[in-house]
Amino acid sequence: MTRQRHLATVLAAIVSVTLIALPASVSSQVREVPFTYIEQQIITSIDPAGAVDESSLHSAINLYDPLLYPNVEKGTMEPRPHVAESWTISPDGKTYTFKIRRGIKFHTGRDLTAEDVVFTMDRVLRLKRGFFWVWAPVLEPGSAKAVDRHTVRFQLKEAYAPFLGTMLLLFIMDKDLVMANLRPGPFGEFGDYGASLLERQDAGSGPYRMEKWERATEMVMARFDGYWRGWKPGQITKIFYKTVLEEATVKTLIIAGQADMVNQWLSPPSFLELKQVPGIVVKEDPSVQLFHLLMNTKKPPLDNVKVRQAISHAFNYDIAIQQIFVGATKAKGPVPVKVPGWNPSIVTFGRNVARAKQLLSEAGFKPGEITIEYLWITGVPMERLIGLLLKSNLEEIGIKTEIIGEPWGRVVERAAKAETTPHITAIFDTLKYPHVDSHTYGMYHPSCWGTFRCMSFYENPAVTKILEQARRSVDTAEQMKLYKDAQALIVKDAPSIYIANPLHRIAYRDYVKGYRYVGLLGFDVAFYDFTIAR
Amino acid sequence: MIPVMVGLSILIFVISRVMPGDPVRLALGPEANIEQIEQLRRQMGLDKPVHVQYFSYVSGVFRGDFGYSLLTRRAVARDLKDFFPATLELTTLAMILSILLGVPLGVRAAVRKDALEDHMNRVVALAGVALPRFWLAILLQIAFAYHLGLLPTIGRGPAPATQITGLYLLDSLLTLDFNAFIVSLKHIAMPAFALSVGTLAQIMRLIRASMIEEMRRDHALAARSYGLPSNLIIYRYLLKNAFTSTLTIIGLSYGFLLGNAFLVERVFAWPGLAFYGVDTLLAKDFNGVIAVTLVVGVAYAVINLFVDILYGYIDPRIRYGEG
Repeated sequence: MTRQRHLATVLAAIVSVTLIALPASVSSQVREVPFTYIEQQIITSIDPAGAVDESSLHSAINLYDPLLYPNVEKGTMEPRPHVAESWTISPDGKTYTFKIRRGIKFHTGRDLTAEDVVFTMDRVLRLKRGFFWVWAPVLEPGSAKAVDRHTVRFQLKEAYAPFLGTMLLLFIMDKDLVMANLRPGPFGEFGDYGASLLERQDAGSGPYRMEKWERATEMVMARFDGYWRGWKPGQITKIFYKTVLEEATVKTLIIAGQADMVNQWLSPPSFLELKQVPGIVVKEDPSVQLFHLLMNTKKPPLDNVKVRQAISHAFNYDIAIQQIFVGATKAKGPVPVKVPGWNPSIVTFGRNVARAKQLLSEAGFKPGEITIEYLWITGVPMERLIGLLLKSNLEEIGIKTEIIGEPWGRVVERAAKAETTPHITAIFDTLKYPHVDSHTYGMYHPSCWGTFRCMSFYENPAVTKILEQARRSVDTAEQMKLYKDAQALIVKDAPSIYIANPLHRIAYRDYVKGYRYVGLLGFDVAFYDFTIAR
Repeated sequence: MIPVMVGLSILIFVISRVMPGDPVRLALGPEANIEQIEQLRRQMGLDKPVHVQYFSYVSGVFRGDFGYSLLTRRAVARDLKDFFPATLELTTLAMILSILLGVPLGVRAAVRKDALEDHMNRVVALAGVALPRFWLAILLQIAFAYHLGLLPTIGRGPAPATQITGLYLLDSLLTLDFNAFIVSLKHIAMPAFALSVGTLAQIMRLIRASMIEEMRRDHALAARSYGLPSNLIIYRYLLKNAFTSTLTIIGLSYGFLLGNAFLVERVFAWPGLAFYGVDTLLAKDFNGVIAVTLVVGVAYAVINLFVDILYGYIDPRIRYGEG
């Protein structure tokens, strides 16, 4: 027994000494300028055709090159040349011709050509994944043609106002690499269309190439020496993109200096806490997000515009902004105020309880006659707070509110039909593509019914007509005027309670330079733009 | 065991189908149109009747095909291969820690019943049972990773150069890669300890109670009157008897931890099965949920079968086919 105890003591001592003696970062063999970024979402796919959430977009933005790029240098989301160095648009707005920049190399060393652009667009349209829905109204496989090695032409079914902006979301892939690695699949001669390959490696020309990807934990990206934009001293050469879901752990990592930047999904109190920590920068920008309460215009009594207007007048916007969405801008209509094309002359609803009561009476309802269902997404506690505020506000005008929380999956399912959609649903809606069309046509044209964005099931033939005209308009000034007119009409019909354009926050160590937020999801975390100045 | 697994598979299959929420809409993202949704539904076979889906799934399982995960967009079998070893390693080490620390502490508490040491052990045991694992995990991170900088905050660390079982500690030992072993040990130390504390406390309390009872029995008195050394009586004779009931708890806890290490895995960003299981549940990823349930169910059954065999080894009175 004594010998056993002695052995146990020796073993315990060995373990303790080895644990303490060796540094914690033995695992991180790094070179040049490493960078650790923490994200609270799992990267579900590194295939850019499937990238719609932030983390998947990060992988696409850093591993691939889009055809055009947001003009981050000028602080706007307007498209600027990137893979395409120039473009022309036909007078009828149906033909877009892009000149492809020479000298861009894929990570395989092959030149990027017009054929790759055509292949990429056809692939998205056939896979019907990711941003397919953005192009589906005007393109089909074969709509893009390579005119020559460095010219590509898109033939649209009709003029489409947001088309140029959507080219920011077309991440070009190496056709030869994909075609050489096809596996059996449902796409005929294209087999699995490279899905299996793109689970293991990238096929891009972006500033970084993927070195390692362990789902749910970490992606390692390393500098691509042959990147066409070249490299400067101080730029990041190796990225450790880690997935950490627990907020407390994320904070510990950046405070302890084990992370250089952490994502936007921390709660406002956590960002306030990080602001107090020396050496950490919390960058705040007005976002292109809209927080609103969608009112189901097909469900009585909200099918009555006066009831919707009454509810819009009853809500206390000031408390929502001052106490719940601290630092946010009050929403002025469906389009976030930072988006080009927002209508500044819109008159939005303000709190006016007397007017609310009057409208309710005009609609033929007495206090206590109406009970509505308010739906918030579990896991987003701010929406519950807004629900409580709404409930107390509506009590003042005699409307009862049932507050119900449901997981996101259930919300999406309920959004499928007007009958299953609740009276009011709280939604955060981010700009989907860099155009005012996203928050007008995308939310208030009947073609979007059945998705979470259109839980108001709004229908006004005049607005529908204007939105369709706007999309087809080739004159930018006229186009913008139409979108602005539509916004004014939509707000009047009160299909939503427009509450806030929340702040976008992100935290990083103060030696990180070059961070730029222009509003488009994912493009602020383009590691190529960052330099380290320790 | 086979009827249990068949019953479990039917139950979880039915539950997964009646859970609210549409997995296809979730997987395709909020902007997916009806055409995309229907296409994926057909590809997944979700347009077929539930019993057809079930038999198709079960026949796939026998071929090692657990279907396609809507969450990770790849074969569920690949996910299990990646995630299960991480949880198995973490849980096994946590159980080893629980036993290595819980048993001696329980024995000490019993031997020193009502002494200061016993009271302190009982307070620690109570705290261990009551303390939420995720909270302890955060405290450990703050102390050992942030303030002392001794241990890494998150993750499993880099995989050993040669992977055999997927258990990093074991693989690094098998390949004599001691540097990788140390790195893996440093990564697993905090999560394993955080996970072990609750079970450790349970084992300690049970051993204490059983030992006190054993020490009152006649054979203990007889052994003492023969003048046998105290440690021999305690560890060779009494502990063996006292350990039987604890073994049941160890078996149950092992299975429980396999499926419930979620919070610890989340805090330490440990890429394990519990973490994956919860994610698949939130995403309503049918195939992932069923596969995780089946794997945990099988592990649970195997562990308890092993425990049943151990009973016979420890206590000859309950050997099968004897007496």
